[in-house]
Amino acid sequence: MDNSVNRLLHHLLDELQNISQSGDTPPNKVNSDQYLLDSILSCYGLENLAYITTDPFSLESRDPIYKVTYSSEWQEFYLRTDAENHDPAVIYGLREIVPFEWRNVELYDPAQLAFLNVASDFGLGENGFSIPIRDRFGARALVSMTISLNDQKWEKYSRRYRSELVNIAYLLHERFSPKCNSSIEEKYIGEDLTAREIESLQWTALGKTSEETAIILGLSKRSVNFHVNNAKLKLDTVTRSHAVARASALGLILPVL
Amino acid sequence: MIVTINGNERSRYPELIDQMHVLRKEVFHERLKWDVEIKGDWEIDKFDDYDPLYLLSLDDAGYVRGALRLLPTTGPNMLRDVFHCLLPAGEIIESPVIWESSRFCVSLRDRDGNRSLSNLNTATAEIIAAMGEVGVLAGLSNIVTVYDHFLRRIISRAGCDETLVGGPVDIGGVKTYAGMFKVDEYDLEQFKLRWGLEGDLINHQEPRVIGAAA
Repeated sequence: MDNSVNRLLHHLLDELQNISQSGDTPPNKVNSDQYLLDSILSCYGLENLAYITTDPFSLESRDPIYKVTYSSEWQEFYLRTDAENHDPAVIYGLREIVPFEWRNVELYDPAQLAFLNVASDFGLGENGFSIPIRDRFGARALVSMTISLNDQKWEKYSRRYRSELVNIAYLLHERFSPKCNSSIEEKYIGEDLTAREIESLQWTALGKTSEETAIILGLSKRSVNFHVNNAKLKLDTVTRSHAVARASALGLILPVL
Repeated sequence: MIVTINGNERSRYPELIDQMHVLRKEVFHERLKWDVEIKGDWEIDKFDDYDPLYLLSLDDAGYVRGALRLLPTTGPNMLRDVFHCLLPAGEIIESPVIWESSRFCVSLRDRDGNRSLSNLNTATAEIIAAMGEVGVLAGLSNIVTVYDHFLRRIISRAGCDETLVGGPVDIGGVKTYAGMFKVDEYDLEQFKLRWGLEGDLINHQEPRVIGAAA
């Protein structure tokens, strides 16, 4: 059982990797996000999966980002009533460090209790479990899971799969958080630059012309131009100075002080 | 007795938090002579701003006699942000199932100011066991820590197996190491048996009252 789950998980992760590298257009990405969430649900026998993040650095949108598998009725209700303001998992969870079970959280705020009553009317699963996430950019996120198991079975389940679910929660964050996602893409830019291309760019950064660079590197001027142009393309830039600036920002060449 | 305090709730436990920072100053600044930031009676640094989880060991009278701080390695942490020189070049430890412990300290004296070995031993064992319990709760595989020779000896004397992952590197005149501990439920039970620790150390606390504080 353990092995088959692991295999499924790895398969899922491979697929996820392929999706994130294929540069999908937004509608496909939405579908693949949903596909990913649904696959995790069936892989782990979960009822629902919900991801929420607030990015402290995004000024333009103060709204949190959601990815959920809840029913559309519930989602509609949630958005219409700004329910994150009363959702104890969110209020509590985004401040937490240690993963927690919903049944261990005791509530006194009437608005939050009312929220939970509505939630159970929508049939959100018996046992809920939330995993708080912190990333290297200072962003926080919360992945919540609900499952229809009685307390005793849930105890066993959680013991066995907790680590895996924590790993999965973090992978979801890497995929869904705008900051992590863009930094993953940035990592790929310029990684395929050759040593010659980097060298040529470095001398260009130091103010050398193609002719001077050619003499320094013992190449022809044509070769130097060829390398610099390749670097320009690979860095997705339009001019030499643009390429130098990006290469420097990416740490591919030494910055000129 | 162990009390866990979530960093974002520090203001709800002003006495305990104060005692912890005072103890940290006593241990790291005065006794171990580490190069740490001092503010008045306190030792406090920027990682205390990142809402860590504190584990405090209290004596029978309810005073802090030992403390430890936990941070996920996926967020800001000391090994990545300050002590990266301890790890081989280019290597980082960043995993949702590895957390970092720091500022582990235990008082050498009891409340009356007498040197107390049993106080030291109980507090050390209690904190290490509580750290293991948090590890199990959080689904961790390992806990990494940055420490010096002195702390290393205390921890290994308590019966904890570590794997050295970095160091020794001389930092501010102190030989500094990075060590990795495995989180394992069976080992944890054995450890608690050996030290006569019974029941859950971190789950006895009253249920969290939320909403009332918000």
